[in-house]
Amino acid sequence: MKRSARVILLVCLGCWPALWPLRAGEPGRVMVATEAGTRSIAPHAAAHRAGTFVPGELIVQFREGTDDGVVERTLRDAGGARARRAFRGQRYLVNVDPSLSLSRAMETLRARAEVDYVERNAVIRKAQASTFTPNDPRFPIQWNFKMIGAERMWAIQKGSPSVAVAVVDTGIAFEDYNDPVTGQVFRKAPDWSCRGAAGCNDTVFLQGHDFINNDDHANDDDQDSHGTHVASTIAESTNNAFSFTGLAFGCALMPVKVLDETGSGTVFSVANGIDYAANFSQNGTNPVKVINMSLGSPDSSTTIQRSVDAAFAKGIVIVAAAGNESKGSIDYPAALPNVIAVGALDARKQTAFYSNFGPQLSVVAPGGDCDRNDSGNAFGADCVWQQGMNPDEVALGHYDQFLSLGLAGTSQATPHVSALAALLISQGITDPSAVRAAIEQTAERLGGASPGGRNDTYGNGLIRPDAALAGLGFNQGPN
Amino acid sequence: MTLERAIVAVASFGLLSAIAAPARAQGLALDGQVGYYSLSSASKSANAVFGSAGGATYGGSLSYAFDSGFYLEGGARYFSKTGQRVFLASPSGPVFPLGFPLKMRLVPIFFNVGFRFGGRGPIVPYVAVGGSVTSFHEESTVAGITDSQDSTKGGGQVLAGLEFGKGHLRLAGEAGYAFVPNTVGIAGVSKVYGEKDLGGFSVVGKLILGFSSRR
Repeated sequence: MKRSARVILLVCLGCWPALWPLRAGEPGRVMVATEAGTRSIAPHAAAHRAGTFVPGELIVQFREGTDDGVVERTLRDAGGARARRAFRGQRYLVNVDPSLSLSRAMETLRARAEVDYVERNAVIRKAQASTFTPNDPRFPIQWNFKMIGAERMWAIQKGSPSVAVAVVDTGIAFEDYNDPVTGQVFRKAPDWSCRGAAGCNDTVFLQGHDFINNDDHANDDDQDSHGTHVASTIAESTNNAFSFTGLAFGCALMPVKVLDETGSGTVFSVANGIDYAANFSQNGTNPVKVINMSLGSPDSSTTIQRSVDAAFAKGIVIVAAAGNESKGSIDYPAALPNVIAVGALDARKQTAFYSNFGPQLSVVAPGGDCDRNDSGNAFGADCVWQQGMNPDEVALGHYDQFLSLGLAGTSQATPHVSALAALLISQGITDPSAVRAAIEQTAERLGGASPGGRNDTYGNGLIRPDAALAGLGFNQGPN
Repeated sequence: MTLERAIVAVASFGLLSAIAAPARAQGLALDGQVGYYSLSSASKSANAVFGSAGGATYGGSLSYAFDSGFYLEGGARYFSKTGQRVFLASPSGPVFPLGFPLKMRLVPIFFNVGFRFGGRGPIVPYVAVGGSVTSFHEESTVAGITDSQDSTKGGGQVLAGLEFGKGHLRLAGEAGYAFVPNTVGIAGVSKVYGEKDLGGFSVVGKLILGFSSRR
């Protein structure tokens, strides 16, 4: 019974909308951007999409001082069946008789001298996005990469293909595959390849495993493209003049599917995923040096702790999300001693409203807030933007259409740290404790923490990849 | 070698030599010196960054010896090492070389007061103690950006040596111990190890040009 409770609570952090689809401002909200513009999608709640109008409703603003009798007569003449006055001023929400043309009613009202303006009553979501259509590479959108100094980081280290990050998640859109059993058609996301660009290497994928369907095709069928999005932050193909960039794009990825299409998994499946990654062997060695777990549960699990400890003992760095409940305790497995717990910042470099905090918090990284645009990015929302599947198509069972996808959460912060860990290992720091120390010691202290100190809100602070990678001189550094 | 041991060694050498009469004045002399210097007081940091603590040193000095056996000396030495930036999490942890080139340079300018023993014989033992001003420079380059650091610190040294010959050209062998406290240990590897002193043990050979031959 207790185990069942754990199973239920072990949900993908980025998939809250699947549980609370109408809760505006949840970190897991999905944003999509296409050549036609940017829009917000609430999975399983398509009726609430922005850009639509409430049928038959008009907002009519009368000029100041208009007599109430005149207002009533004007609205009735235009076909108004029912009207409601606004909280302040002479603004009315008018329901037009359904048998009449709405545009004709608007024309009639606009012709009246006492009417200031008329407009349709549009649906507004809190995350109403800009319609700006970027037609250049998406890196300028990635405010989160700028925040951690990615350009300087890449000058130092881009990652080695001999270092792999296992993404223990909902899978990755990493292959073209037609499932003979289910008939599902999966396609490889477009920005894993260089597309003919020079000075670029295709993203390398190691043989992963699907612990939900028990096969070797760990494809992503989550409506949020959660695993694909997380993996893209780590190693989306970069310098190919296409779409977005990934932080450790020279490193390899391993898709390990432990969460189903709703973003939920079990202790059993997650532990299986960790064990698989930790015991993988290729040419006599295990290239998996980092395990990213953008998932969590408020409950601890002996099974997962055993798997984590065993992986750590094999020299693997394990990074996990602190959780999105805005509470003073860190989710598991992030709270385990051998795991780097990652909290989230928004674009103001302040702790994100949803990010959990507590004594086990190691560092923070950009996790975003889709309700804000402090970065002023062209997509109009401070989500973490990467490639992903089209949520509308995924809802229909199609896994072959991709677009720019914005998510926010500690799930999105976590791969920043996993990527940094992979880069540090590529640079030569091969011990997991040393990798953690390099990340923590060089972090930018926030929230009033003294140099070398920490607090429970920001942990050791915001990761600084350039400082971590530069290491120490005789009497120099961290820089 | 610790500073205390060095002082004891030099003092013992002085006492043993005191049974001999002071050497006669040699007047003004110039020397060139080549030898080995070890960053003994920061050996862990040096081993981590450079792979070893010691290396070649060279320099020169100008001295003046009085009839009483005392002499004054002023000079400078040069010591440098090349290595790479590293990472280590704790003093007991492994060192991970990162491959970014690093250079360090020490230039101590020293002033000594010494005493020469040995009467009229061909071998003249001597001891000295003095102060120094040491210029420290560290420079490392990470992906095209060079980080450099310079500081100048005061210190001191004790030394003992043997001088051979009586003509204008003479040879000497000299061992010493220098201390340059509070120069490092502020950041980097030396902070992790808690090493603050760039001093250490040195052994040099000298070629001396005396402007008046020793009698």
